[in-house]
Amino acid sequence: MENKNAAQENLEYIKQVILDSKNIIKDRGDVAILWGVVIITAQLLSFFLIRVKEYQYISWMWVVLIGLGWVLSIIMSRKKHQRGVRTNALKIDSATWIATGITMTIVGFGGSFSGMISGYSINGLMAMFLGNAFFITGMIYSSKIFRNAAFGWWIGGTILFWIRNEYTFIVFAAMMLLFQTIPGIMLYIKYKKEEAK
Amino acid sequence: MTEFDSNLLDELIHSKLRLGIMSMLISVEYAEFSVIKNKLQATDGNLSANLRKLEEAGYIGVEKIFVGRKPQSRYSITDKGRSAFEKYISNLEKLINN
Repeated sequence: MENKNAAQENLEYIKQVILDSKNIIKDRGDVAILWGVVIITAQLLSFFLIRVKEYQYISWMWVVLIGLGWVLSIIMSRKKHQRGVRTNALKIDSATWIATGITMTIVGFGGSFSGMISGYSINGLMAMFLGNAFFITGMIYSSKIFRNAAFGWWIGGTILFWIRNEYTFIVFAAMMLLFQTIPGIMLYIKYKKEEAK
Repeated sequence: MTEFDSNLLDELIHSKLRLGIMSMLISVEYAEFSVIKNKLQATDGNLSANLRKLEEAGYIGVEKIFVGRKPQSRYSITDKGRSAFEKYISNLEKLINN
């Protein structure tokens, strides 16, 4: 009986340490905020350049902004790697976002430069990829905000397939604000609060 | 922690601090010395001694790196350590279910 109680006590201790360790460092949302700002800027600029009929600058503006986003993301990831601990959850989450980012970059540029995907259709596709990644992150961290954001991306993406004019950029920018930048800011605030404890 | 009257359990893991270290390292890719120390509320000396025991047994590995100018010791669980920990848990469960 005593052995059983002691074994139970040990198992509880192991569970507690594992649970605490898994919660050590969650995603702080900084990369989500960065990409939110980059994409909102690019979407609004695309809308503006179409309105003023300066189409020739659109592709280059995207190349510069996406390039800048990647450079800043790599710098941020390196800083994360310098932290004293890296959870397995963070490793899977980072891999999901890197894979999604690469896919989006290839589809975005490859699809539009080759002419296989029209400029107005790309946003719907991107929303689908983002829905996937947000859903995985939401499941990894048991985050309702991110899981709900995934549904926002999927529903919004479906609507975007029917918008075949420059307003697709405005809708996507609004989705980026609602389903990525704001959840990112909420995550960042939560992270800072937990860090201060 | 209550002592067991059993030979089933791995003596190397069966001490509160070493059990804490193994439980922590099984759930992360790596953890730095100061992070383990803070999480398990251990002293430098005690933690070092117990980490060394686990390292000598091949249950954990250490990587010494420099982050900027600061040295960091990053500990991670090895395959041998993972198997030993899983066996330890399985034996604990056997004790509970008997």
